[in-house]
Amino acid sequence: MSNAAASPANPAPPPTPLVDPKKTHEVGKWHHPAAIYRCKADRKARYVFAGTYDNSLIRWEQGTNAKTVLAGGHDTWVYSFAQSNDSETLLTGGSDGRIIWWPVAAPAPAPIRKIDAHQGFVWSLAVSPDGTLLASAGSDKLVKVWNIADGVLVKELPGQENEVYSVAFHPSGKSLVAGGLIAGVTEWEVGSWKPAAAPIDSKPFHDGNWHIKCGGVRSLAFSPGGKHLALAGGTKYSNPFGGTMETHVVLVEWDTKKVVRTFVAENLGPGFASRVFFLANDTIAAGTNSTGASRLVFWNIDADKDIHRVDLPSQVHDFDLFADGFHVAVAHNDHHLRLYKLAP
Amino acid sequence: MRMDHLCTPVEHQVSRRQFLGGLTACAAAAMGGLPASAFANPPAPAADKKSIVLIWLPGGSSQLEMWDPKPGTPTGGPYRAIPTSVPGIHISELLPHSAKQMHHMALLRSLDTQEGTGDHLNATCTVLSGQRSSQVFDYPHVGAVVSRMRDQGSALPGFVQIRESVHGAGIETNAAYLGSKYNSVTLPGGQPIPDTVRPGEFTQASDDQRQALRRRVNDRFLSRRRSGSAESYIQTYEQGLELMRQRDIFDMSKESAADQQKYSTNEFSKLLLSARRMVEQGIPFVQVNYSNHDTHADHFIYVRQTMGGFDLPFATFMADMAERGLLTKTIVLVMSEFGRTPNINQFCGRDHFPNAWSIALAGGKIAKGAAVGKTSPDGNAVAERPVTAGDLFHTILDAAGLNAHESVKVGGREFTIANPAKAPVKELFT
Repeated sequence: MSNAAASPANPAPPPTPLVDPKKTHEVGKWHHPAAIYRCKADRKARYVFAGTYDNSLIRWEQGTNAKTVLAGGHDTWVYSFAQSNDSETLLTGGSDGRIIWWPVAAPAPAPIRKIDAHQGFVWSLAVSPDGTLLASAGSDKLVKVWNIADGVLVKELPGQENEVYSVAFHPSGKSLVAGGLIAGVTEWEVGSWKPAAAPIDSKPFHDGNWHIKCGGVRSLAFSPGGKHLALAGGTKYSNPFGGTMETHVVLVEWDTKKVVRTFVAENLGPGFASRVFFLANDTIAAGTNSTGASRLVFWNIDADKDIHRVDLPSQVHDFDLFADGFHVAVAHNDHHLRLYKLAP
Repeated sequence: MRMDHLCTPVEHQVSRRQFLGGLTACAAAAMGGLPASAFANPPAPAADKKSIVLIWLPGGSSQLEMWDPKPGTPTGGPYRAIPTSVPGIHISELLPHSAKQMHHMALLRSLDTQEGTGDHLNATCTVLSGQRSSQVFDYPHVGAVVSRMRDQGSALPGFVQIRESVHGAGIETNAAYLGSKYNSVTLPGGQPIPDTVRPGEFTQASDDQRQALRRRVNDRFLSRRRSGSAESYIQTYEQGLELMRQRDIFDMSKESAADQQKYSTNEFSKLLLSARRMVEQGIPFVQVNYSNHDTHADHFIYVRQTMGGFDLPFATFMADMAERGLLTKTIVLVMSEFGRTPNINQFCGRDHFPNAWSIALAGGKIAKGAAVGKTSPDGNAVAERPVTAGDLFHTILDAAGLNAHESVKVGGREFTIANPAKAPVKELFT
């Protein structure tokens, strides 16, 4: 793929006409001795970062394929990534509860800052549209907001019933949302940090019929203009310990906070969607896993049924969309980080 | 829909069928009515014998997220290891409270129970009986064996299982040829068996008359057609009567408010208080079940919940048992039917793994702070001191002060209670 990228302050509009899920094809891959669990595409498309089962944090460089291990940071799995708006700082959250700041392009990146952010996993990180705030979601039932410049805690947002899996800022910068293991999707007003009167309904993602808590909104994403919010995960947990549930992706209209569409993907097999993104052309992409098949599944927001699905060679733990809008990095269980182009 | 790699109903059906086949045979032996004298040697006095509390984690708990963590390896998962109260012994960070009680406990980190199968029911039978059952013969579970060997003639059950309240009360067939008297009695939620209070309309005197009539009829029947089945049937009635008479033994509400508060973390915690009460009341073998460990998918999410629910109650129990001096006369075991695979499957789960796993033990002559056996760096194999299910069976009985070499006659054929080719793990003893 090209290394050409827009400037961070003035990102180029995505080349909309080029996105065509039906033309998805692999354009590259990198190998590591352990499974790749999480990944992050550099906003400037210089690198792809990955967290692995053997606690490694890796940077692969586009073009040269140079592999650099980011050492001295987490001593556990990396669960979440974010990047500063100037693209020069990488933020990682680990199962050690830490958030670490890293220089993206340093020859041998070393931690700039480490904070003990949560008790347990840092499941998700998100940078505010103005680039000043970092939100983190933890397994300690907390959402926290940090000053990205110095790592100082701005606000702790309690009130979740269980682990918080996903967090995102609305593109307007006025709202922060979080989805978790049990609670509905909570919205806070940025600045006052007042929670909205009622959570966004996410009941189908949860299952109260089991002795322990299962289900939850695994991933959420706003459409580029902020008109819609997509929620992804699983539903109908007939055997959660065995992974028997159904993929569940819904579309929420932001103005009304109502679920306006439940997407359908027939015959996917039991499993759930681990990540969801908006592409150009009002298209949603989700990574799904089921018995013997892992896929990228695409829907148009105007229709229930998927418009295309791409079979992947191995379990997809995570994927990330490049700023160009038509390349994705996929973290695979078969020890590979693969790059796909969603266009001819 | 089903996932091929999972514990499927089909897999369980097959296993259950095999299991039931074995049960039919053992039930036949049980109903055949082996009298207590079937033991070649009469039971020894109970003075130096220990009660046993088995904390059973059905489904297969993960040794990597409990007693044998492998942090920083591709199999280790996202959790770290933490030091314990015993220098040099580290366990999973998911057990911070238990770590502080390690000086009361020993770890056995080299179980290889592949003589059983990888399915739950057969593996359960194998690790609890020390021998692999077949379709034509079943072996008694250790609880039934202890109940039999500690039998001093009481009609009270010697083997009690305490389960979460979602389960019902009942009797489980696990005594095989020892006879139905030694089957476990299951109490849900740590409460007395339901419906064991004499109805108000019956006076004690009228009930005594009723029971006397029953006994006369039974005696007359036995005088003509004595059979194991009939004796077993009568025994069940006598046991029920004794349970009614001594139902307070099983009533946790009789414990002090302070103890009930101490054990109020969750339901498992309350079950452990029940176990303590039963041991103090002289029940020889109490099994406490704590479930939801069969995590083939999303293991690292669920194990935080299961271990979170296990850790503080277990640590409280261990500290309390030690403080009360009960560990001198009680063996505590924490175990499952197998461990879980070090290799993480594609659904972020861990599967069944009898090849190399761990248990915790405490009490009696179990060496405090010992760690016996070792697994390979990735946890996929036993590296030092392999221990089989048969060895474990010997170890449990030996620790409880019972003779694993006792023999019992079944249909004129003599069986030793434990596989004579196996032996206890002496390194675990002081």
